[in-house]
Amino acid sequence: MSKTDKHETGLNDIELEQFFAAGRSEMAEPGAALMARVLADANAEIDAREPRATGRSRRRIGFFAAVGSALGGWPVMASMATAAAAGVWIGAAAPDQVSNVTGGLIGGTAVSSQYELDELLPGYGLMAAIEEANQ
Amino acid sequence: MALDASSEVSDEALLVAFGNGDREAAMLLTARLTPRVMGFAARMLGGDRAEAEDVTQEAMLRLWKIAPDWRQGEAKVTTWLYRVTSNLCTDRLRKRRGVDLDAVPEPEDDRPGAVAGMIEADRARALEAALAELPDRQRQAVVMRHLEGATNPEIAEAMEISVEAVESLTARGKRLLAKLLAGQREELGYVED
Repeated sequence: MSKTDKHETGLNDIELEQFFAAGRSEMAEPGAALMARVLADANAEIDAREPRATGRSRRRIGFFAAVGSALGGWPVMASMATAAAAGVWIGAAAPDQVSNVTGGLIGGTAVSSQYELDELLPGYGLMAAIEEANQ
Repeated sequence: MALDASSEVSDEALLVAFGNGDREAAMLLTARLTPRVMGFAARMLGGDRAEAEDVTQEAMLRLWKIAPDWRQGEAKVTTWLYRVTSNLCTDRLRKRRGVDLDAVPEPEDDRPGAVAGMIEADRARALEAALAELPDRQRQAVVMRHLEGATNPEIAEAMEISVEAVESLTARGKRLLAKLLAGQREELGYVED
């Protein structure tokens, strides 16, 4: 039998399986560097999908900054500060003018001497008048 | 996710967890899948380790990127990886075809006692060299079936062909391998008279 004939014949299945078995046992293993690169790619992919969890946005936010932000930012905070200052000024520096504005409702004994409580509330008289009108 | 329960979790479930930002799932998938992709790529590329590592990293990167869109039950992760890895290897083989076909290391021919038969490492090297001679599709089918242990339906899905076509590719690939290895065995003097 010539060499060419033997090539045409080839190995039988049992012999070929011996090569496959050897091939299975000789599998190329990934090095530690490759494993690290693959894992780094995975983490980079997570980071790319979660921009809020990275960089500047991860900076700690102070308490006052958080409260200010929750209330609507610095314009709202400025308005609230102005109103608070006006309240202090009204209470401490100009009680007479305040009394005029409120018609004497605020200001201690003057209130009780000028108005009775039933004058400030919708009394039974009003209710009786309404009922009478309905009849 | 507890590490002691990791072996019971499927690749698909881990990939969905990774898609939701689970870094522990990333570690488990890296440890579980990278060796398989590397082994497959090395066989497809005729044992070129550096190129196989590049392909492995690229295939795994594509897996990470597709994770958020992965739907459990549609496909097996390993089947998807085989397909991506095969395509990457085929691209590289096309680029280098005709340039370095002889780059695969030859089995040693001066080892004492060789007449009694090839030792396993020599057989593996001879197989690697013979696989490099097969047409790409035959090599892919034979490697997946006989070295990776994939089933014919899995190979069919990875190669996007019918099961019958897989059987045909595998049969033709094995016939050619048998001839190539028989010739190599004789040339190396491993045949006993």
